[in-house]
Amino acid sequence: MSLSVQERAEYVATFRFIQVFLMETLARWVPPTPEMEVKVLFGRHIWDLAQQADALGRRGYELRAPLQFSLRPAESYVEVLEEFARTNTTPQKIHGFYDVILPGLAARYRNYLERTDRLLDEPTVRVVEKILGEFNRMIGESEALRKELSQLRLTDKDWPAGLAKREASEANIVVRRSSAAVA
Amino acid sequence: MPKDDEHSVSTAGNLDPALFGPAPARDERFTEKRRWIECANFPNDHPLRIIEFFHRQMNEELNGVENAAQSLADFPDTDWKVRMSIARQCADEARHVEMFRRIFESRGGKLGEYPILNFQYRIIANLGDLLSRLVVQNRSFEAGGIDAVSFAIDEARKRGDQELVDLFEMQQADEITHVRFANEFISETIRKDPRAALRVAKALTLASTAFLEVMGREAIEKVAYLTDEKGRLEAGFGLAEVKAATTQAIKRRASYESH
Amino acid sequence: MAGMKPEETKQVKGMTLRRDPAREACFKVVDSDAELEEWPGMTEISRRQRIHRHMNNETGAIEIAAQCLVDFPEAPWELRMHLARQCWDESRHVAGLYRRLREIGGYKGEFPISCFEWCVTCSLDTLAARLALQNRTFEAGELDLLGQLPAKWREAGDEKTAEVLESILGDEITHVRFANQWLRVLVREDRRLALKIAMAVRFLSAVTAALAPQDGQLSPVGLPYEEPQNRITQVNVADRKQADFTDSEIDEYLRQSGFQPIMTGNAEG
Repeated sequence: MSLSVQERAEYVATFRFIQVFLMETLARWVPPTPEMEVKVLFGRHIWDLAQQADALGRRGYELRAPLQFSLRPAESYVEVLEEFARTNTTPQKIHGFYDVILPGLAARYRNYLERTDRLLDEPTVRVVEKILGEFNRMIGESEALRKELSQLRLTDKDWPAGLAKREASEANIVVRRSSAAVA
Repeated sequence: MPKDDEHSVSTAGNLDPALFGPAPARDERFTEKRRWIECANFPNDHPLRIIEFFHRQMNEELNGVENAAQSLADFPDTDWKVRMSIARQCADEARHVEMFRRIFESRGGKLGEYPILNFQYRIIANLGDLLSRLVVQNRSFEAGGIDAVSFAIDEARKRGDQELVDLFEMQQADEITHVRFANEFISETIRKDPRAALRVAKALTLASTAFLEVMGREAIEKVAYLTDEKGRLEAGFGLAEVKAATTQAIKRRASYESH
Repeated sequence: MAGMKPEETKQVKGMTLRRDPAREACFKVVDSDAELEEWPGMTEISRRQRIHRHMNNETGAIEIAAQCLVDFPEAPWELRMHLARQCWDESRHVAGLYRRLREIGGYKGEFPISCFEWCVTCSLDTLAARLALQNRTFEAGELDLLGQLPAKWREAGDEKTAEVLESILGDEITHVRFANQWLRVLVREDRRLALKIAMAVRFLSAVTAALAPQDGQLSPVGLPYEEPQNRITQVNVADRKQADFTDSEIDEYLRQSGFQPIMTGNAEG
């Protein structure tokens, strides 16, 4: 069975929460990150993430939630995000963000695309597909920078795998609400 | 503008040319009728009633695309934000056409199997300004659609037809956004120029006269649903307007039931 | 700033400021603009130093906008969108200037840098005050500067740098404009913010005075500092108008900038 309008609104609002959280995470990292090129990379992607959040926030309104409405995801997933946001070293920030968190979120977006009715819910599909394309570009830009600046490469190869495991541990991050709580 | 006689149109009882413009173009699969009474109006318990409804609704959504597209073409100087909303409406209505076509064909229907009505386009595209068109298309016909869909969702749910519930819910969410942007545009236009309210009143009078000419009392009196108050509020109607619409619907139903 | 933790601050000449943001080891970070190398004219080293300094200022602008996103999550979403957009614009400015710096033989860390704007702006505890200083004061000042600089670089035969600066100017106008528009909204909604803004302007004056060079002091390149009145940049009236400054605000700024004698009733320059 496909998703109802309310379920779609809940997914979209949950995705928006994550997008805003990630935008704020990059913003939080800009001043304390020493490498100028990385500040530039993050600065560019703050705007990407904000626009993606904005598109989801407008789509949520069309799905009968309030304009620019966010829903906090499952607590275990929020804990992973919050712990990751406290990451200190630049290689961990880069590898964690572009190799684990964005691909993990992309997988959740693809899962949504598989679950929803692509015709009935085409506006959300368009928004999500656009975000997925932008994620690819963002990841590509981070890879190009890593090629340019070898000091950004991570020496501890196990670290991303551990983060990826924690990120994927919560399959369903959307917390169901009563209809009144969404509207 | 599309020519009137490029496809099959019934000639029975010509419509008032002051109220109706030319019909939109259709290919040879379709047969256009001018009045509701000439359509395939199956009784409530007939198995083909819902199938025919999908076909009829598909064509009404096509009228929605045509009207929105026509307004984009006719009013290039409109505020860009409003034009964006109208362009978006084109895409939404086009998706609705596909939605209804999909469910119609999946349940055994064949395109062109039933006659169609293009009164929405013929009434709305005949109005000379965007304010009048949005008042009639979005604020009247589509707002009426919100009420109708709400009722249809309940009916489909009672029948256990989840596919249809999903379709209607999505359609309803889209229609709310169309009514909302029109309400905002109308309020803003009247705020800037209070005399514009006269155009609104004139457009509504023309549209309701034209609507009655197409539908006849038989069709209008059979309307069984009231207003979707929550949907109308989300769509930017004021509380007083919603209450007035509900009162009108109750009166209409009482009048029907007393016959 | 009320609410700044001691470890987030630094003391400079008796003033408590926000501690500098992180920089790579190749950079020598100083506390005030007076400690920067300012090479006269448009010699090769002067050109590199100008671009290097501008590049660091733009880096600071990314940091300030990003920190506003972090510190004021409850700000209206549209305003946060402007700040996020500003992060992107400033990032492109840094990248464009860094590319140009390398093209003319410069490199990161070639000259000392100062994060003065960050240290002052991020000491403030309201978004309105930060917008008033960073966007409406520092960046609006940049409008005036960028109104003149491209011609100066062209005169020196450097068309490429002139084009970079002109591109930056277009973006900066939008940053000043959104700050002007939102400050009006924020102050209308909460009159107390007007006091916060006034205090921020006073704080900037106090810090500027404290960090100014002493009489007779020579700059790091061994030259006397230019007198403040000689450093006044011509007010970029057209671009300030585009940035949504009102005519009376521009008049007032012209007055404060020493243009009173040449002012007419109309601020058009």
